[in-house]
Amino acid sequence: MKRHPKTYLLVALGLLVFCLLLVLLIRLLVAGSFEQFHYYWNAVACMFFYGLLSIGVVRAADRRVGWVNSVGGGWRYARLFGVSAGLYVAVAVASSIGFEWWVMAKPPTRFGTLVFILVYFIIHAVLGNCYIAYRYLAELLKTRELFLLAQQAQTEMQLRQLQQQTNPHFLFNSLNILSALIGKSPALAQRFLTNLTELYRYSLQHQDEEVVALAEEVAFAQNYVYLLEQRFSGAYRFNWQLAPAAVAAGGFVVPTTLQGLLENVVKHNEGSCKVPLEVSIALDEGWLVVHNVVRAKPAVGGSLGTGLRNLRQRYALLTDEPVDIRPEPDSFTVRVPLLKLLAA
Amino acid sequence: MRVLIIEDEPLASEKLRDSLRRYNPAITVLAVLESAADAIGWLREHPSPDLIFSDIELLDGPVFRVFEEVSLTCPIIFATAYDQFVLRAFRENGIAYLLKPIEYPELSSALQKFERLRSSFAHLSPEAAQMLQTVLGQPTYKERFVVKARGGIYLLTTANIVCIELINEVAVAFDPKGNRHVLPETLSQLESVLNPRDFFRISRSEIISIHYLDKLENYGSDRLAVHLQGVSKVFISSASRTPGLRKWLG
Repeated sequence: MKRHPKTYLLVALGLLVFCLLLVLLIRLLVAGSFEQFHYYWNAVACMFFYGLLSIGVVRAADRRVGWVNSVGGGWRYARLFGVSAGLYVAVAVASSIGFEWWVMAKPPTRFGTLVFILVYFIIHAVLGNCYIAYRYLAELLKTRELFLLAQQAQTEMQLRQLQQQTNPHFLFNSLNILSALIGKSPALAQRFLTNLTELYRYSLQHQDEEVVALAEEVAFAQNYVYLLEQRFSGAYRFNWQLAPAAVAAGGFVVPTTLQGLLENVVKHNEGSCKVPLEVSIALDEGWLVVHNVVRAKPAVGGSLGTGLRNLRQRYALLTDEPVDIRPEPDSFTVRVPLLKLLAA
Repeated sequence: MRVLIIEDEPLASEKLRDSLRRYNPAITVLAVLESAADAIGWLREHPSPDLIFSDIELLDGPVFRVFEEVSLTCPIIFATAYDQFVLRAFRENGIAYLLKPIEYPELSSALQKFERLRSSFAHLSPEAAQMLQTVLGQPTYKERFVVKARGGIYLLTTANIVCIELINEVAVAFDPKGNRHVLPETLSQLESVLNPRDFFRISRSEIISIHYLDKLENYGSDRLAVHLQGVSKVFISSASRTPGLRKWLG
């Protein structure tokens, strides 16, 4: 997950205050009286640097161990702390000895090295753990909030699907087309009906599922587009730029992702048979991309953005890559991360 | 070919009849029966047809009781509107089915398959009929969870869940290896989607699986201490849930 710049600033500030106070405390203890007190600014700088290093090492180790993001576990914490402490002590001791040797021409002694190791271990035990605790709490709060939002989104989504299944506009418009087709061409009517049936079957079948294979979702969306094309006969032009092999290897999406996006396009943009509205559906290196020309029309019911917000929250539950929405004056693009199924 | 149709909607059976005629005019439809009771009576009195087309929900209830009472020697193709759990039961038992509305291409390919591989069409035994009957009446439970991981998602099957604990207000599932999986649901939600045969909410913050039960001990007069395989923690049932727990354990 992307960290806010404010987080970095907060951590750095906290560390600085800690260093200032610690040096102050040590100097006060050493001084004994006001006359003998002298503050060492370079000690603060040095401590700040080693503090940052400690935090940096924890972060690097966490990326490998993955403790903070996953609500913990004792063994994983031990590994995180062990790995980061080992790394930190090694780097810090080596750099301190190097500094003394080259700059101050003081060759290392066994005792001095031991002191360094102990001092840096203690520094890391304090700062590293503070940072771990801070990140853990922050992550936990975020996870909880995310779950809360996602649960809400799930409920909203189910409601939306329910509304859509019984959406009078969609249903009656479709029935109207069907009634026109029955007289005109029974074969077309049959085909239209099959598609309509499949549409309802799919949305019923997947309403309780978290993910569905991309290939299935694409077939479903094509079904939906067929119905749209019958209704609007060419007012919207859908360009499917999907290689079958890429779709088959495309992983998973949240059910009704693509169909929902296409529905949005039609809901918010004006089409016309003379100048069809261009919509493209493509795959781009692990992303599903829906792009359309903008020709805004006032939407009937439902405010702009609730569907997209909902989609975003549902994906946040399954991936760290956010659904990328790019509104521009004359085009609208939504990029959805495809979910890769890992071996359990 | 002599075909029997069990279907309670006249228009639907008429359409099926038309489609059969279109496929092969030599097909004779022996009878169209509208209820399970009629079907039982007819099948007892007549020799077995070559093939039966049957709807699932009839005027007097699900058709499966027909096949529990009469043992059949011919294959059946079921027509069903929509029920994914029945569909799965069909697929798992190799029972043929057609989705409603029945499209001619699907019907004709089913008939072709029937002619080609008559023997591979599974016969519906009374046991299978009973199983389908139960499947139809059963509420369904979640069998897997999708869990977010670094670089992708993975599936956690409920068979791989030893217990679920509320840790810092977040539901965490433990698998037999002791790995933790964060589930984005509340324990109450989980309790309602998990099969109560397999899982029990032992306290406000814990759900346990019966499949990993190791040992039980009395804990005071009105509680139980539960040991699970692969977990060092001992789960103590809350007093109010202990009677339910005892019943669940059987």
